[in-house]
Amino acid sequence: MPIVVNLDVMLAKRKMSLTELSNRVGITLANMSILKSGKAKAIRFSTLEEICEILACQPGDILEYMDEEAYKKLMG
Amino acid sequence: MSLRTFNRITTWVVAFILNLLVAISLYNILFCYKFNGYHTHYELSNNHRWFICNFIFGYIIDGFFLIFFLLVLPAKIILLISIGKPFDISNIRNLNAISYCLLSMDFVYYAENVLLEMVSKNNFSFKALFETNFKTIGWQWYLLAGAIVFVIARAFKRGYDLQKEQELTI
Repeated sequence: MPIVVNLDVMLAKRKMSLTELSNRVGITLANMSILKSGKAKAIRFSTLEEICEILACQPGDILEYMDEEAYKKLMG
Repeated sequence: MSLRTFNRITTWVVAFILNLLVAISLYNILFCYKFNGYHTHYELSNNHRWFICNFIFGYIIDGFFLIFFLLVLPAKIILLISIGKPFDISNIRNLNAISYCLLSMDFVYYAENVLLEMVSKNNFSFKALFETNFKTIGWQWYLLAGAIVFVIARAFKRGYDLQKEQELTI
Protein backbone atom coordinates (compact mmCIF):
# COMPACT_ATOMS: atom_id res chain seq x y z
CA MET A 1 0.00 0.00 0.00
CA PRO A 2 1.67 3.26 -1.06
CA ILE A 3 0.80 5.13 2.13
CA VAL A 4 3.88 5.77 4.23
CA VAL A 5 3.73 6.36 7.99
CA ASN A 6 6.25 9.01 9.02
CA LEU A 7 5.73 8.52 12.71
CA ASP A 8 9.45 8.03 13.40
CA VAL A 9 10.24 11.43 11.84
CA MET A 10 7.67 13.20 14.03
CA LEU A 11 8.90 11.32 17.10
CA ALA A 12 12.46 12.45 16.39
CA LYS A 13 11.31 16.05 15.91
CA ARG A 14 9.46 16.00 19.24
CA LYS A 15 12.28 14.03 20.91
CA MET A 16 9.82 11.44 22.15
CA SER A 17 10.24 7.68 22.37
CA LEU A 18 7.79 5.18 20.94
CA THR A 19 7.21 3.73 24.40
CA GLU A 20 6.26 7.11 25.81
CA LEU A 21 3.90 7.78 22.91
CA SER A 22 2.26 4.40 23.26
CA ASN A 23 1.79 4.95 27.00
CA ARG A 24 0.24 8.36 26.48
CA VAL A 25 -2.02 7.25 23.61
CA GLY A 26 -3.06 4.16 25.55
CA ILE A 27 -2.33 1.49 22.95
CA THR A 28 0.20 -1.28 23.28
CA LEU A 29 3.79 -0.92 22.17
CA ALA A 30 3.35 -3.88 19.82
CA ASN A 31 0.48 -2.15 18.01
CA MET A 32 2.42 1.09 17.87
CA SER A 33 5.37 -0.79 16.31
CA ILE A 34 3.02 -2.25 13.69
CA LEU A 35 1.86 1.28 12.88
CA LYS A 36 5.41 2.66 12.76
CA SER A 37 6.78 -0.12 10.57
CA GLY A 38 3.96 0.36 8.02
CA LYS A 39 2.43 -3.09 8.50
CA ALA A 40 -0.90 -1.67 9.67
CA LYS A 41 -3.84 -1.98 7.28
CA ALA A 42 -5.94 0.81 8.78
CA ILE A 43 -5.90 3.43 11.52
CA ARG A 44 -8.89 4.53 13.57
CA PHE A 45 -9.73 8.24 13.60
CA SER A 46 -9.68 8.16 17.41
CA THR A 47 -6.09 6.82 17.44
CA LEU A 48 -5.00 9.36 14.82
CA GLU A 49 -6.64 12.14 16.81
CA GLU A 50 -4.77 11.20 19.98
CA ILE A 51 -1.43 10.86 18.21
CA CYS A 52 -1.88 14.27 16.54
CA GLU A 53 -2.86 15.81 19.86
CA ILE A 54 0.15 14.44 21.71
CA LEU A 55 2.68 15.20 18.95
CA ALA A 56 1.00 18.56 18.17
CA CYS A 57 0.92 17.94 14.44
CA GLN A 58 -1.46 17.38 11.53
CA PRO A 59 -2.45 13.95 10.11
CA GLY A 60 -0.55 14.92 6.94
CA ASP A 61 2.65 15.12 8.97
CA ILE A 62 2.30 11.46 9.91
CA LEU A 63 0.77 9.99 6.77
CA GLU A 64 2.09 10.49 3.25
CA TYR A 65 0.97 9.23 -0.13
CA MET A 66 3.60 7.98 -2.59
CA ASP A 67 3.18 6.54 -6.07
CA GLU A 68 3.90 2.85 -6.51
CA GLU A 69 7.42 3.23 -7.93
CA ALA A 70 8.64 5.62 -5.25
CA TYR A 71 7.12 3.38 -2.60
CA LYS A 72 8.87 0.29 -4.01
CA LYS A 73 12.18 2.18 -4.10
CA LEU A 74 11.72 3.26 -0.50
CA MET A 75 10.79 -0.21 0.71
CA GLY A 76 13.39 -1.97 -1.39
CA MET B 1 -26.14 -19.34 30.44
CA SER B 2 -22.97 -17.56 29.36
CA LEU B 3 -21.73 -17.62 25.79
CA ARG B 4 -18.68 -19.60 26.82
CA THR B 5 -20.76 -22.36 28.41
CA PHE B 6 -23.07 -22.42 25.39
CA ASN B 7 -20.07 -22.75 23.05
CA ARG B 8 -18.65 -25.56 25.13
CA ILE B 9 -21.92 -27.50 25.21
CA THR B 10 -22.44 -27.02 21.45
CA THR B 11 -18.91 -28.22 20.77
CA TRP B 12 -19.42 -31.37 22.82
CA VAL B 13 -22.76 -32.13 21.19
CA VAL B 14 -21.25 -31.73 17.70
CA ALA B 15 -18.26 -33.85 18.69
CA PHE B 16 -20.57 -36.55 20.05
CA ILE B 17 -22.64 -36.64 16.84
CA LEU B 18 -19.48 -36.75 14.70
CA ASN B 19 -18.04 -39.57 16.78
CA LEU B 20 -21.29 -41.47 16.48
CA LEU B 21 -21.23 -41.09 12.70
CA VAL B 22 -17.62 -42.24 12.51
CA ALA B 23 -18.36 -45.18 14.78
CA ILE B 24 -21.21 -46.25 12.47
CA SER B 25 -18.94 -45.91 9.43
CA LEU B 26 -16.19 -47.93 11.10
CA TYR B 27 -18.71 -50.60 12.09
CA ASN B 28 -19.79 -50.79 8.46
CA ILE B 29 -16.19 -51.16 7.29
CA LEU B 30 -15.27 -53.77 9.86
CA PHE B 31 -18.38 -55.94 9.86
CA CYS B 32 -20.21 -55.35 6.60
CA TYR B 33 -17.10 -54.86 4.42
CA LYS B 34 -18.66 -51.97 2.54
CA PHE B 35 -21.73 -49.84 2.89
CA ASN B 36 -22.41 -49.31 -0.79
CA GLY B 37 -23.68 -52.81 -1.21
CA TYR B 38 -21.52 -54.49 -3.81
CA HIS B 39 -20.49 -57.29 -1.46
CA THR B 40 -23.94 -58.77 -1.97
CA HIS B 41 -23.23 -59.38 -5.65
CA TYR B 42 -20.37 -61.82 -5.29
CA GLU B 43 -19.55 -65.03 -3.48
CA LEU B 44 -17.18 -64.29 -0.64
CA SER B 45 -15.71 -67.70 0.15
CA ASN B 46 -14.33 -68.92 -3.16
CA ASN B 47 -12.83 -65.76 -4.53
CA HIS B 48 -9.60 -64.97 -2.75
CA ARG B 49 -8.56 -62.27 -5.15
CA TRP B 50 -11.78 -60.44 -4.59
CA PHE B 51 -11.31 -60.81 -0.86
CA ILE B 52 -7.77 -59.43 -0.95
CA CYS B 53 -8.79 -56.55 -3.20
CA ASN B 54 -11.75 -55.80 -0.97
CA PHE B 55 -9.50 -55.95 2.05
CA ILE B 56 -7.08 -53.44 0.55
CA PHE B 57 -9.80 -51.04 -0.57
CA GLY B 58 -12.23 -51.58 2.26
CA TYR B 59 -9.84 -51.52 5.17
CA ILE B 60 -6.80 -49.55 4.13
CA ILE B 61 -7.90 -46.94 1.61
CA ASP B 62 -11.45 -46.32 2.81
CA GLY B 63 -10.33 -46.68 6.41
CA PHE B 64 -7.75 -43.98 5.85
CA PHE B 65 -10.29 -41.77 4.08
CA LEU B 66 -12.87 -42.10 6.82
CA ILE B 67 -10.56 -41.94 9.82
CA PHE B 68 -8.46 -39.07 8.53
CA PHE B 69 -11.07 -36.92 6.84
CA LEU B 70 -14.09 -37.65 9.02
CA LEU B 71 -12.41 -38.06 12.42
CA VAL B 72 -8.95 -36.45 12.63
CA LEU B 73 -9.65 -33.27 10.67
CA PRO B 74 -13.06 -32.52 12.25
CA ALA B 75 -11.51 -33.19 15.66
CA LYS B 76 -8.78 -30.64 14.91
CA ILE B 77 -11.38 -28.11 13.75
CA ILE B 78 -13.53 -28.61 16.85
CA LEU B 79 -10.47 -28.31 19.08
CA LEU B 80 -9.47 -24.98 17.50
CA ILE B 81 -13.04 -23.66 17.71
CA SER B 82 -13.33 -24.66 21.36
CA ILE B 83 -10.13 -22.83 22.32
CA GLY B 84 -11.49 -19.68 20.68
CA LYS B 85 -9.65 -19.69 17.35
CA PRO B 86 -12.36 -20.47 14.81
CA PHE B 87 -10.83 -18.47 11.97
CA ASP B 88 -7.41 -20.10 12.04
CA ILE B 89 -5.74 -20.74 8.68
CA SER B 90 -5.39 -24.47 9.47
CA ASN B 91 -9.18 -24.67 9.98
CA ILE B 92 -9.69 -23.38 6.45
CA ARG B 93 -7.15 -25.83 5.04
CA ASN B 94 -8.77 -28.74 6.89
CA LEU B 95 -12.26 -27.78 5.75
CA ASN B 96 -11.02 -27.51 2.17
CA ALA B 97 -9.39 -30.93 2.46
CA ILE B 98 -12.64 -32.45 3.78
CA SER B 99 -14.66 -30.89 0.97
CA TYR B 100 -12.24 -32.10 -1.72
CA CYS B 101 -12.26 -35.56 -0.13
CA LEU B 102 -16.06 -35.70 -0.17
CA LEU B 103 -16.23 -34.38 -3.73
CA SER B 104 -13.72 -36.96 -4.95
CA MET B 105 -15.29 -39.85 -2.98
CA ASP B 106 -17.58 -40.74 -5.93
CA PHE B 107 -14.66 -41.24 -8.26
CA VAL B 108 -12.73 -43.25 -5.69
CA TYR B 109 -15.69 -45.57 -5.13
CA TYR B 110 -16.34 -45.83 -8.85
CA ALA B 111 -12.70 -46.79 -9.47
CA GLU B 112 -12.89 -49.32 -6.65
CA ASN B 113 -16.05 -50.86 -8.07
CA VAL B 114 -14.50 -51.08 -11.54
CA LEU B 115 -11.41 -52.79 -10.15
CA LEU B 116 -13.48 -55.17 -8.08
CA GLU B 117 -15.59 -56.01 -11.11
CA MET B 118 -12.39 -56.79 -13.05
CA VAL B 119 -10.83 -58.80 -10.26
CA SER B 120 -13.89 -60.80 -9.33
CA LYS B 121 -14.63 -61.84 -12.91
CA ASN B 122 -10.94 -62.18 -13.76
CA ASN B 123 -11.65 -60.09 -16.82
CA PHE B 124 -9.38 -57.08 -17.23
CA SER B 125 -11.17 -55.33 -20.06
CA PHE B 126 -12.80 -51.97 -20.59
CA LYS B 127 -16.17 -53.70 -20.48
CA ALA B 128 -15.97 -53.53 -16.70
CA LEU B 129 -16.15 -49.76 -16.91
CA PHE B 130 -19.69 -49.96 -18.23
CA GLU B 131 -20.82 -52.97 -16.26
CA THR B 132 -20.10 -51.28 -12.95
CA ASN B 133 -23.23 -50.06 -11.32
CA PHE B 134 -22.72 -46.42 -10.48
CA LYS B 135 -26.07 -46.17 -8.78
CA THR B 136 -25.00 -48.23 -5.77
CA ILE B 137 -22.58 -45.55 -4.67
CA GLY B 138 -25.10 -42.92 -3.59
CA TRP B 139 -23.14 -40.23 -5.36
CA GLN B 140 -25.56 -37.35 -4.79
CA TRP B 141 -25.03 -37.33 -1.01
CA TYR B 142 -21.27 -37.08 -1.23
CA LEU B 143 -21.57 -34.25 -3.75
CA LEU B 144 -24.09 -32.43 -1.57
CA ALA B 145 -21.99 -32.87 1.57
CA GLY B 146 -18.84 -31.80 -0.29
CA ALA B 147 -20.56 -28.70 -1.64
CA ILE B 148 -21.85 -27.72 1.82
CA VAL B 149 -18.43 -28.14 3.43
CA PHE B 150 -16.87 -26.18 0.57
CA VAL B 151 -19.27 -23.28 1.17
CA ILE B 152 -18.49 -23.39 4.91
CA ALA B 153 -14.78 -23.30 4.09
CA ARG B 154 -15.36 -20.18 1.92
CA ALA B 155 -17.24 -18.55 4.80
CA PHE B 156 -14.37 -19.33 7.18
CA LYS B 157 -11.91 -17.85 4.67
CA ARG B 158 -13.92 -14.61 4.63
CA GLY B 159 -13.94 -14.63 8.43
CA TYR B 160 -10.17 -15.14 8.44
CA ASP B 161 -9.65 -12.17 6.10
CA LEU B 162 -11.90 -9.94 8.19
CA GLN B 163 -10.18 -10.99 11.41
CA LYS B 164 -6.75 -10.26 9.97
CA GLU B 165 -7.88 -6.83 8.82
CA GLN B 166 -9.35 -6.15 12.25
CA GLU B 167 -6.12 -7.21 13.98
CA LEU B 168 -4.06 -4.85 11.80
CA THR B 169 -6.32 -1.87 12.47
CA ILE B 170 -4.65 0.32 15.05
